[in-house]
Amino acid sequence: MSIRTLDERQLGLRRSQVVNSLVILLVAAGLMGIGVLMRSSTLAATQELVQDEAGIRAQIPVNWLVDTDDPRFVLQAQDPSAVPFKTTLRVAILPVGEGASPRNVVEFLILQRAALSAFRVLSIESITLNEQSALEMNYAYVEEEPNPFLSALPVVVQGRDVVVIRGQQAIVATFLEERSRFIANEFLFDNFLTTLEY
Amino acid sequence: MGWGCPWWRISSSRVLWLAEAGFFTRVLGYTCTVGVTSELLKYIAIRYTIFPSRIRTRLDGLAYSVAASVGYAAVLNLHLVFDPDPTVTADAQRIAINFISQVGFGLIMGFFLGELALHDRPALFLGAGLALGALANGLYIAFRAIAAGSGFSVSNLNGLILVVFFVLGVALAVNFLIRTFDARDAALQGERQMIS
Repeated sequence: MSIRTLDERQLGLRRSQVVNSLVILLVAAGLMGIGVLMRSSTLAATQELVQDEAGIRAQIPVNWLVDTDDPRFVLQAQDPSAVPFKTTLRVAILPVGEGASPRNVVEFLILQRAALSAFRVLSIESITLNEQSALEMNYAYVEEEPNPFLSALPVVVQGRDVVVIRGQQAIVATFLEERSRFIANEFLFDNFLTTLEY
Repeated sequence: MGWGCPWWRISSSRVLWLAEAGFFTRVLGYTCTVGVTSELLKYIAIRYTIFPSRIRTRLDGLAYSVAASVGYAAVLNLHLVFDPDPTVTADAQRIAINFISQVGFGLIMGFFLGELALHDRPALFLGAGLALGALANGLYIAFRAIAAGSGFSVSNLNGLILVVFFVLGVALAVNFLIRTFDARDAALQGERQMIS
């Protein structure tokens, strides 16, 4: 390093250079802050889904595919970009007799879901949903592509049902996700349940 | 409308959040994430090593910035080099695209750093340079997605052609600015000599 360079270094930065050095950090922090806000608002953005006939209202992520025509459920929302299994949020309403408990409904669901390939119940727990006692069932099954020409590998799907009784009806909220992404995307179902009105 | 869930609870598997967004959202999104990060890193590399003592002309700023950009692009390309399943042709094109684009956008920061090293400038001068460099990054990435998917085939070659034109545009703009500022300095010096 030459003596002249050392002399120049001793001179240090001019005032405008110091000010600019500080301001650029603020500008960078501001832009990054906008980026973080954009990301969180894009990924956490929701749309309201209303099923007046069934008296169901909930928030689902934007740009998800909504199906309200299937007689098996009241509403269903699926993430179209999820691969290999479309993340699914679903609400179904089952008629129940007087005095029926969530346990009865869960047993019915187990019988119904037994038709699924390799269906296994993982756990059944009591929870509270909107200050009402409910039952949560975790299960898994194997989803197979019905078209053999696509040669797709079977997918292990993990599901969660939350059952709550409303008068003579049982509300069944369901979350289905590919096993490896279940825990990471669990919050989608938590948010869905938080916003679910019935 | 949002759920109000904390942003850190957003699934890490949904990293392609901008790919499905509209054009202007992509530009702003890439500007405020990839763009600002890359330009800030290049700035830090120059600011805390040679700035301002080694910058004696405006072209020095460009030269050091290009060197910092090459270093940044080299690190950026490491994940392509160590890809466990490399595709030689596509990776070579990606590496070339990364090098050309980073060097091109680095010229913007280099100009602003060179200018600040030589003259007193307003407080927002470097910040404007950073924002401009980041915006160039954002614009290029947003246009690249359109270019790569256009034509008869989806190809990195379209991205390569785009980046060459993009960087040429940036280089011509910076060249124009340097010539203009040099001419103004020369004129000012001439005036001072005449007065003295």
